[in-house]
Order: sequence, then C-alpha cells, then structure tokens
Amino acid sequence: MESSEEAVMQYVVAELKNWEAEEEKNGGGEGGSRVAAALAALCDVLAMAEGDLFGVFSIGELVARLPRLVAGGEGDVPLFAARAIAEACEGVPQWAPSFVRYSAVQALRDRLLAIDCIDLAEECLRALNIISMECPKECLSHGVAAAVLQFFDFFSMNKQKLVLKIVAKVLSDFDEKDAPKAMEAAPVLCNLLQSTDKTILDSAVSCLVMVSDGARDNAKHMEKLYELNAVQSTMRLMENDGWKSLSDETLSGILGLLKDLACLSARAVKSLFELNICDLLKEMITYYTSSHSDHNKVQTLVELIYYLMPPLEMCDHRTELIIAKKNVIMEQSRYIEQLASILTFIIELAKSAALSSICYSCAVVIRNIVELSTPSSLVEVQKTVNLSSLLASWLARKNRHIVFQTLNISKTLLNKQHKFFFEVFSREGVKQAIDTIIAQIRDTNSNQKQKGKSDLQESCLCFDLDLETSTDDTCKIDNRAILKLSEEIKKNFLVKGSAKSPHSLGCAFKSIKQFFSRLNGHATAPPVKDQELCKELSDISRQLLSDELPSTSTFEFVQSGSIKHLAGYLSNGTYFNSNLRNCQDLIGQLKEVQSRLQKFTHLALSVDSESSVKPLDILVEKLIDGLHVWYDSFPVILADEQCTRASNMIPLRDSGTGDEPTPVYIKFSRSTREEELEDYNSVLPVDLYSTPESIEEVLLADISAYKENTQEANGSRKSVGLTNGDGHKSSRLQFSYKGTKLRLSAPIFESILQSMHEGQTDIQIDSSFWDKEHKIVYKRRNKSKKISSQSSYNTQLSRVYGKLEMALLKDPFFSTILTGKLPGDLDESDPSYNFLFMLKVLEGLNRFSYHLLMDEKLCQFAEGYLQELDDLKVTTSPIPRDQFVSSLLTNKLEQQMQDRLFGDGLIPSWCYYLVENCPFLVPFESRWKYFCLTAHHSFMTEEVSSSTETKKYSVIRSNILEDAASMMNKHGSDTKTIEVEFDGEVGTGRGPTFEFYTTVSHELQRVGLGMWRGDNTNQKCEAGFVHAPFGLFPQPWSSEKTSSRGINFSDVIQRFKLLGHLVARAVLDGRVLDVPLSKAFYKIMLGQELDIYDIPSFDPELGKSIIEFKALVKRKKFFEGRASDPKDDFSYKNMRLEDLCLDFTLPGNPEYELIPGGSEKMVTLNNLEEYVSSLADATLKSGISNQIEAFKAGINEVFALKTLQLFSEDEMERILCGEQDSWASSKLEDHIDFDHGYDANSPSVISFLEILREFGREDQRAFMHFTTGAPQLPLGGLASLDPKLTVVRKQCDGKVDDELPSVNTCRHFFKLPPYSSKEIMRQKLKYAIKEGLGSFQLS
Amino acid sequence: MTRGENNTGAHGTGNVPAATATAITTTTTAAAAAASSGKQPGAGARGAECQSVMRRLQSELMSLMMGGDPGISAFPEGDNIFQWVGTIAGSAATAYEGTSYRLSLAFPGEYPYKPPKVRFETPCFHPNVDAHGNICLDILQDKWSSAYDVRTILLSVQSLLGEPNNESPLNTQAAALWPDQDEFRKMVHKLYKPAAA
Repeated sequence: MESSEEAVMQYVVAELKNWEAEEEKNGGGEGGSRVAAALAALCDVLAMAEGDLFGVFSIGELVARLPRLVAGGEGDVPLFAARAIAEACEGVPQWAPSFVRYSAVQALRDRLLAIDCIDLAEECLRALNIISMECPKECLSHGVAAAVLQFFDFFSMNKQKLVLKIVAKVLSDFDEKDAPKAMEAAPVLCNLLQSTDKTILDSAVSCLVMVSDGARDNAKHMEKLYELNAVQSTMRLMENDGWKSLSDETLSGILGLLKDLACLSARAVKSLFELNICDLLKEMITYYTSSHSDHNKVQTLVELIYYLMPPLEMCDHRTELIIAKKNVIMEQSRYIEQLASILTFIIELAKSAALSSICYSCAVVIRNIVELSTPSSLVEVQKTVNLSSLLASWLARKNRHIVFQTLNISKTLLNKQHKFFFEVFSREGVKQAIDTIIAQIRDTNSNQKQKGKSDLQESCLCFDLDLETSTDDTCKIDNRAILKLSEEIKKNFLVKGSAKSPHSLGCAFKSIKQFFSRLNGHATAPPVKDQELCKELSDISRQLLSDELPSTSTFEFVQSGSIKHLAGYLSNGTYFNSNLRNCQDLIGQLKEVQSRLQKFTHLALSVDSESSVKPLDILVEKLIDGLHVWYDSFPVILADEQCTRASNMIPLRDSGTGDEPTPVYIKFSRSTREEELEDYNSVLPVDLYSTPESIEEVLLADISAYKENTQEANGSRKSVGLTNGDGHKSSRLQFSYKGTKLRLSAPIFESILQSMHEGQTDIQIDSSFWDKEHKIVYKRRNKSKKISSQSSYNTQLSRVYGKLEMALLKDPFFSTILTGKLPGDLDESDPSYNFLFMLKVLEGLNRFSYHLLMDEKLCQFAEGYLQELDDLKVTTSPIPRDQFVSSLLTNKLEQQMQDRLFGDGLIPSWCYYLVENCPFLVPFESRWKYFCLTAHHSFMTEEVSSSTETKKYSVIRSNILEDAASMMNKHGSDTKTIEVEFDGEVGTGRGPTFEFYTTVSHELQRVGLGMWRGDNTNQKCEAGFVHAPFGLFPQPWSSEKTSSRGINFSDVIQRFKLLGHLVARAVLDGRVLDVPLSKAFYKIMLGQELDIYDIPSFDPELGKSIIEFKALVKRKKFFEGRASDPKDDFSYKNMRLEDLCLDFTLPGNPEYELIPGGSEKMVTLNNLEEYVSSLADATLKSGISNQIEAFKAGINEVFALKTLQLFSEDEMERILCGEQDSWASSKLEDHIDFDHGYDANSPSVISFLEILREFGREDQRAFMHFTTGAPQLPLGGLASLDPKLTVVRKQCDGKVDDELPSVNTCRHFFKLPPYSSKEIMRQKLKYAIKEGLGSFQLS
Repeated sequence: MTRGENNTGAHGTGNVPAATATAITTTTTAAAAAASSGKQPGAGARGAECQSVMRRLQSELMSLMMGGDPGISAFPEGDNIFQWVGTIAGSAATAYEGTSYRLSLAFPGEYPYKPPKVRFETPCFHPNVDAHGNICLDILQDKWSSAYDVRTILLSVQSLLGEPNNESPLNTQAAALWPDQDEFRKMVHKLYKPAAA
C-alpha cells in the first residue's frame, strides 16, 4: 500500500539511519535539525493516524531508535522523540512493552530528571503516562515514581494531576522487592498532604496508601514513612472536624495508612497518642455508628485502636516491636487514660453492632484495653456503661470467637479487681452464662461421642486482627479451648465466692419476684376498693423499677421471671396456657384484661414528684436490653462482600437491581414415603421472597393426581412468586430440606441458608449458592391439624365485635395480650419471644394510655369515687414512642437493607416480622427505607417502571378540582411519575406540579364542599376555607340524604376519592400536600378503629360533652343494679338533661337524624345511652363510612393502602405534608411582633427565633397549641394568624431562669422571660409546651 | 385567657402549663364573617331547621324572664333567635356602678356544644375587653360546657367587670390603671357611651 504516511515513515527511518551513520563518522553533527524535522513529521503522522494504519508498516526500526534519541539527542530531537513515543503508544498501546525493552523508561526518566526544558519534561510525562499503564512494574523498578515527583512543583496544575496519575498506576501493584523503589516516592507524597487542592490531596493520599500497602510487612519502611511525618500530616488533615470534609475514599485511605503505621512502628503510636488520636476516634465512632452508619469505617476505626496497643499474644519474630509498643504505653500513664476513655465508646458501639465481625473486633480491643487499664478505672467503666451486661450478652452468643474473647475479658477483670467484679458478674449474669457454657459444651461433647458428629463449621474471624498475616495453621478457637478457659475461670475465681455469698443473685432479685407474684395475686382483690394495696404496689414498683441504687440489673430482671409474671397478670393467665379454652367467657376475659391493663397503665405511668422517670420508661429500657441479649435470633444474611447501597435515602421506585430479580433454583421432589402425590422432580427458579406457603399453590396444581398439563405448556422459566392478596388457606404440603422441616412463613432461601450455616449468626452467602440446585422434598401434610387458638379467637371475636365500643380492643396489641400470643407463627421457644411479646403489649398500652386512663376515670365516676364531671381528667402522658426503639435491631435491619439483593427479596423473615408486627422497634427513617425498598410489590399495575419516567398532564386552573379528578381517575394508577402543567401557562416541571398539589389540597378545603367538619358553622371561614383548628375530619352525611344544602353527596364522595388519589400520588411521587388532616383521620387511613375517646382530638367541645354524657350513662347503669337510687347523682352539672333541650339529631345539622324520627325525640337520662352511642357512631363510623371508603378506594387504585400500616399517624403526616409546617423559617420574624421590652434585636428574641426555627413539626405544633390554643394554624400559616403572634417580655420577680414562659391565648401573647442563655430558654420552652401537649386531648 | 401563670382569680382564667387546655381561636372578625357569609347554603336554612337549638334558646329565654336575676337581661334581636342582645349592669361597689352595657350573643348551630360568640356592643374600658368589644373569658373559650347558658354567661361577664384578670390583659392601659380605682372609675365613666335605647 502506497500512501503518504508510509512515505513519511520511510523518509524518517532513512533520515535517522543517515544521521546515525554521520554520527558514527564525525561524532555528532549537523544532521540534528534535519532529524528533528523528520521526527516532527513522524509525530504528525502518528497523531493523525487511524488505529488500523499502524498495522500496515513495521515500527520496529523506530522502536529501537527513538529511546536513544530521547536520551542522546540534542536540540529539539529529544522533544520530538519523546512525543513520537507518546503518540505511538497512544495509538497502539501494545507497543509500549517494546519501547520498554529498548530502555525508553530510563531515557524518559533521565530526561525528566535533567529538567532542561519544561516542554520536554511534559512530553516525557505524556509518554510515561501511557507506558506506565502497560508496564507499571518496569516503570517502578526504574524509579519512575520518584522521578516524576522530583520536580512536581514546576509543573502546571494539569500536569501535576497527570504526575499523580502516573504514580498511582506505577504503584498500583508491586512486589516486596520493589518496595524500596516505591518508598522513594513517599517523601514528595507526604509533602503533598499539605496541598490545598482537593484532587491533588486525594490522589496523593491514595498513592501513599498504595505505598504503605505494598510495604506493609516491612517495619523499616513504616519507620521511614513515620520519619517523613506521615502521621503528623494526615492527622493535621483530620483535625478540627477536617475529616468530615474529606472524601470517603481519602478518609478510608488515611485511616488504613495510620493503621499500618501504628501496626509496625512504635514511634508512630507514640506520636498518634501525642496528637490525641483517641479524641478523634471517639468523635468518628460516634458519627459512624449513629447517623451515618458505615460498618466498614467502624471496622477500620476499631482495628486502628487495636494497633495502638501491643498485642497480647506474643509471637517470636516481633518481640522487639511489641516491647517497644509496651514501653510507649507504659511510659506515659495518660496514654492509658486516653485508651480507657475510649473504652466506654467501644462498649456502646459493641452493644448495638449488627455484625459479628465488628463485635469480635470490639471484643479484642476491649480485652486489650482492659489488660492495660488500672483496676479502679475499670470499676468506673463498669459503673458508667455496664461492661458486664455486655459480657453476659456476648457469652450467650453462638459465635465461638466472641465467646472466647469475652471469657478472656472476664478473666482479666476478675484478675484485676476480684471482689468488685465477682459481685457484678453475679448480678449481671456473667457467672451464670459461664456455667451455661460449660454445661452446654459438656453436653454436646458427650453427644458427639455417641453420634460422632463434628464441630459445627464457623467462619474464622481471627485473621481480621491477627498481627501476622501468614497464619497458616487453623483457628485455635474451638469448643475445647472455650471449655478449658471457662473451667479455669470458674475454678479460680467463681467457686469460692459462691460458697460464701448466700444470695447467688443480687439483693433486688427476691423482691422483684415477690412484687410480680403479688401483682398476680392483686388481680383477684377488688380493684379500687383496696386503695392501700394499690398504693403499696405502686411504691414497690417505683422502688424496683427506678434507677436508684442498688438498681436491678437486666439480668436479674429477666431471671426473676418478671416478664412471665407480668404477661400472666396482664393476660389473666392466657399467656401460660396459650389456648383460650373457655371461649364462652370471652367477654368476661376481655373485661378482665382491660381492667388489668388499666390498673397497670396507672401504675406504669405514674410519676414520682421527685424523679420524672416513669416506671414504664425503666421497664421498656430493661426489656430492650434484655432483647439485645438474643442477638442470634435476628441473623443478618448478606449476599455481597461489600455493601453496594449508599446508606442515605432511596427513591421509592428504586426496586433492587433493576434487572430480573435473582432467583434460587430449587429442585422439588416427592418424599419417598409419599404415594398420593406425583413426583414433580424438576427445577424451578424461585423468587427470593417466596415462602413454602406461596409455592404450594403453584406446586399443587402440578402434583395433584388429576393435574392438567398447564404449567409445562407455558414453558417459560418464569420465577414462581408471591401472588398478590393474602388468601390464608390452610397448607396442605410439608416441605423439608435435608431432613429439616421448613417453616411455612419463612422465605425458602432463608431456611436453606440457615440449615447450611447452622451454628452461625451472620451469614455471608457464597456465590455458588445461586448456581446450585437445592433439593427440597415435599409430602402431604398430616390431616390431624390443630385448630389454632388464634383463629378460634378471631371467630369468637368477630361474633362480639359489634358490641365492642373501645377502639383499643380491636388493636392488634390487645388481641396479643388477650390470647397471650404474638400474631404470626413466631417460634415461641425462641428466647426473644417473651421480650417481643411484652414490648408489643407495653407499646400498645402506652399508645392507648389516654383511652385506658380516661375509661378508668369514667368507671370511677360511675362508681362514685369521683364526684364531679370536671374531675374527668387524665393528667399523665405516655412515654415518648422512641423509647421503644431497639438500636441493635435497627442496625441489623439497616445492615440487611444495605445488601444489593434486599430489593429482590433477600429479606430474612425476622425483618418482615419486626416491621409488620413490631414497627415501634425500628425508627421511622429505617421503616421508610424498608417501605421504599419493598413497595414495588404492592403497586397496583403489573409492570413497574424503575426508571424515572414522567408523564405530563395539563389542567385548567379555573376548573382544577374537576380536571384533577378526571386526570387521577384515568391516570392515577400509572407507575410513571405524574407531572402537571397549567393550561395556558408557560411553566412546566417540578414547580407547577408542586403548585398543582398545593392548589388542589387548598381547593379541597373550601367551605361549601360538605367534606369537612366545621364547614357548616359559617363562623370562621373568612377566606372561604374551612378552618379546622384541630385538623380536618370528615363531616357526617346521613345515608338517607343524597343531597343537602345544595351539595350532592355523590360530589362529596368524588372529592374524597380525589383526596385518596392525591395522597397516594404524594407518597409515590414524593409530592407534598398542604392539607391539615387530623390525627384521627390519619388513624382511619392506617386502618385503626376510633372510639369516643378520639373525638376530643378533632372536636374538643363535642368530645368533652359526649365523654361526660357517657360517664353519666355509666353511673346510672352502675346504680341501677343497686337498691339505693340517689337521684341527685344523675344531674348533668346540676342541670337536668332535659333542660339541655337536645334532640336526636346531629349537633349543628338538624337534617341528620340519629334515629328515625330523631328530631322529635328529646334526649333524657333514660335514652342518653342510645344518644351517646348513636352520636358517636354517626360521628366516627356510619356518618363517614362512605367518604372513607371512597378515600381508601382512591389510594388502593394506586397501591395497597395496607403497606402504609407500618407507619404511625404522625409519621404518615410527615410523609404527606413534609417536615416543614406552614411556617417557613425565613418568614418567622415577618409575622411575629415584639413588644413590651423586646424588639427584633433583643438577644432573647434572637435566641427565641433560632429555637423556633430548629423546632420540628411536632414541637412547632405544640408551640402553636400552647400559644394560640389550637395546634393547627389557619391556611396561610403564621401570616394569617389574627391577632398577630406577639412576644413580650415577662416580668420576673425571682430568679429568671426558674420562670416558665406563659401565654395569653386571646391576644396570642407569648410572655418570654429574659433567660440567661439560649440553652435554658430551649429547655424551659420545651418543658412548657410539652406539658401542654401532654394534656392535649384532655379537655 | 392565659396559660402558664399562677393566677387564681375569680374566673380562673389562668392555668399552668400542666393543666388541661384546649381552646378555639378568638377572631375579631368572626361576627363580620358570619354576616358576610350569608350566601352560604347553611346560613339561610339554619333558622328554620335547628329545632333543638331553637328549643333550647326558647327555654332559656323563658327561664331568664322568669328568673329575674338583678342586673342582667337578654332577648333575641328581631326575628332571629340565634342572635341575642344582652344587657348587664355594673355591680354596686365596683368602678362600673351605675353603668349598663349591651352585649351581642351569636349562637352557633352546634349550641350548646359550642359556646356563643359574645361581644360588648357598648364600648367598655376593661383589662379583659379589647377595643372591638371582644372578651377574654375562659368559659367562652376552652372552659365552655354544654351545661352553661346565657344566664351563666351574663353573670360571669358581670362579675368579670369587678374582678378582672390583670395578668393577661387585652387592654394593657386598663390593666395598668386598675390599682388606682378612683382614676379607673373616672376613665370607665369617661369612655362610657350608653347606647341610645
């Protein structure tokens, strides 16, 4: 092929040869410029050349010559030669090795070091950049890394970055023998740590990390790095919260680097201590365990702490280093103090760590620190964070590594401070746990002899922390080692003590036991009559459950059987014999349980005047602590080594991987003993979330004797999955895997994995798992089925359902306590069961405390213990819901959710169970994440577009409600994101869409729509909107009327359906509604029942009266059964009921007759009961049922409303209406006046505004409620408040900081004392508004 | 009405934060709004239909006329039984002795579950009454009970005249002047403009 390029090539080669010849002759010559010209031409050709052209001619001639020209040429020759190399390699990277063979690397390096001219240097860089990609090793061994860095400062920013790129490539992977060369680069890299440029800094750190990675095993190199000030420079980067601004990778790199340094250099350790590494570590641990859960970081941090200390196990070849480290620590007592101070952080971290590997690292570190600490500081640690209870819970784990290390810690503690820790260990259950271990191992040992079964496999965690990376021998931690150590501890430390001390358990033990058995006995005593006993009980309970010393340890609490006693008491015995035997007596049982709940609520929420801690607080804390001991009941199952999902919020539609979900291949075959069914005997791909229950249906069709060959015809290998809808048929098949029966409700993958990894808690799925076929055997289930108590209870309950008035009786928590059994098929023998049970009951009790206590008050009034209706007040408030959150389970769930396959259904059954049945254990954020990851199962349309596709619609502003309704009816269930634009207006996208949702939610609040309560009063609708100070609640509509006051009922129904659509779209598309729905309405949305105690929450006046009426009814009923009939007691606040002139119509809506002919029927004492129940029914049920149905239907068209039930009413509001209330932070001062000693610049006012801005939604609302008397601002927010909110200075006589703020709700005056600090102001403010909120419903 | 102050005045208008409190917002323009919203479907129909409220109001009217409490009277204004005019006389031995004030009472459809809107029609110089005649009195807000009636309201307002709650005044000038009873009396009479009966 004749082409111009080839011509040039030949010309260049000729020119070069020519020059060489000349050079040989006269030793240097005139040809330089000609050569340069030739090379320039060559460069042009190479630069222009297309890839395939290079194949045409051989470059062999050039490869050998160009490097020589770089090295030896003069003038422009080296420049063009270097450029030619760069061009050539860029075009054909495979040529790079050939150039390397001809010493191109050395030539370029030398030119670079000679630094004659910057152009040449840059060409060299360019060439080296490409060569280093192909031949990093050669480059390193020729010292390229150090060379390119030599004149780093001379280069432009771009070239500097290129230099670092080259260094990174060169260092990417090197052998030990090249380590010295790599170390040559270290000085400059260390200097670069001071760079202010982020990119340079990041690359420098990553290069340095590579250097230290390669040189990790060589103490000399590490010492060198230390001498280069690596420790100081990196620590400087991190100080003053600098680590928060570093990129994630850089921070991990630095921590890894410090870890390596600390590992091998005693001097580095010393200097880390000098630089207060411990304080930094504390901050970081707190940060990465609480808000920014990142277990990889935590692991690194813990390891870093480990390396700050000399290892405990001596190994031969590092004695010197170990001694040096020991000396560092021993020299300065404050280093040990620093370590001791970090101990409490590690213990806290360990308590809620979700992975065994982290627990193990913590255990190792704790052991080390304990070894170094003084006995007295250990006593302090025990007192502040209760190390012993952690040890006890660790000893209960399955993981042998953790148990082994824990035993070592225990031994050390006993060794150091025997008397103290002996007592503590008895109290916290460490001693008992050790006994249990000994007994268990002996037991299995003797079993082993019979069966010859070997130890269970356990993935070894040792290598994680061992100093030596080359431990080839197998892990030494086995049952024998554990047994030996436990026996040693027992013999040396625990035996003689037990002989001496009579109470093997703590002193409080006995009295707890006594208390709870008394409680049981108390049940039979007449309730209120026995006031003395009641008081005595509450005294004991407070004493026992209080945190006064000597406090009751969790262990004692659990061990004393208090939970069982309490459960037995509250459930009136059904907890013990889980079958509700005498179903006839269900009503009696209901009443008894309710009254016990009431009594206990009273006890548990009563506050001592001195301490503000409620017994329930302590009880819940103990239960959560106790639950955490049973770590192994909640195994995390991970498919990936690394977690691929970022821990922040995920969009709702991000459904897993986006590809087809990963299936498990399962071969189903018939049991050998099964004759009736056919043998399926083939492999099915099964969805991860499939359970035996869901598979059965599919399978049965094929294996029943009369099967029709339908499945086969389909032919496709479509995964078998969960069908929508929850038809709970009784199962007919029994599945088993390797002889173990599968649990019906647990996903199949989980059961298989658990039997594969028996004896392990956290399971890392082997990649081969997905390729393997797993064999599952089925057979027909035995016919003799027990009728479960649950279902018989349900049938019983449904019979009496209509008679139940109180909503709490229909709450799942109540059926839990009534039947003495948690919902679902949870394994009752699991040690965590009791705790979950009790927590579920107590959470319900706390949630319904107002209902329970108010009902109790009503009874007291009825029976004459309360005289006045005005005494019907509940003054205690429930404990905050977040008290019920379990940090450990939250971490575990978070860990599970981070797995890549979670969205595909890699969800262990405990996750389902917790989120569905015990949502209170997990905070809102985690549940929201769970919802987002699993919601796509509940979408109503078949295919889910995981992309962020949008669909646009246009609406006419003047006709917005109708347009919105018709759009939603047509497209509401679309999975695509809906965007809206206004007809005839230019805007499109997010803005108008948000405006659309806001406008429609406002339009739905107009008066005259007949939707909401308060619509017909005509009193407070200045702007034409319904003002519902306590939130919107549907207005009752009589079922007989199709229209009223010019409003058609069918329109009202349509509007509610539209609202349902809006709510659903808001959740789906992440839109925000501006509609102040009442809490009670949210409760309905979430499927909860309402009763008359809910009325005050949306209509205080009506609620107050109707509760008072109900109290009268109860009193009348009570006295009817008695001989004496004191007429006077039945007056309504000294009025005859007849004088109220009430008839049987809905207050404010005389068209709505509560009973037929109601407008003619007057309310008297004799028909008051009928009036109360029919009024409550109209308000809460029959009058609004059609509206509610329409609303729910609207939501259900988009996705299953049921899936929202894992949220509470407050959280639902947060989801729909966003975090911010209608008061936008920036506008605060525009709508608040300052008067009487304050102006906008007063220091108090500035702090006050700051505090208000920091308030969350609930606090804002409480503040408004306190200040204006209503939690809900009118539409338009603070700006529409009339009169304007005014902050005035409160005159204080005494100490200002003892005063509380006060208000004038008529004028919306907020009287603020001029507190001495913002913190005090916040405290007092919160206290004042909280107290007001606590009594929110209690008009 | 006030919160967070330890005031045990005769009307109990103060309550500490711990005490129970729910209230509706008083709006100065409430009456105006009620008047302007006459075109609402409910408003016109109400008079004819709210039988139970009418029955109750009629019975109250009867007992008021029969009871003969001194210094208070009330009567529906025109044909509208939901709109009353009340009169209270200043009690003897108070700064208001010798005065007589007209009040308007507007009853909602939910009466007696909800309190009537009560306002001074005659200008009244009083710590708990603002320039528009709005009254800050707990039983008209969160302490309302269906057992209260026109009579209780008027008696309460009458006693409020002599025993104001100075802790949380609507009229700060009046509150400041209260300790000086002579000056206060002068001021009351100076600003007193009896309606032309």
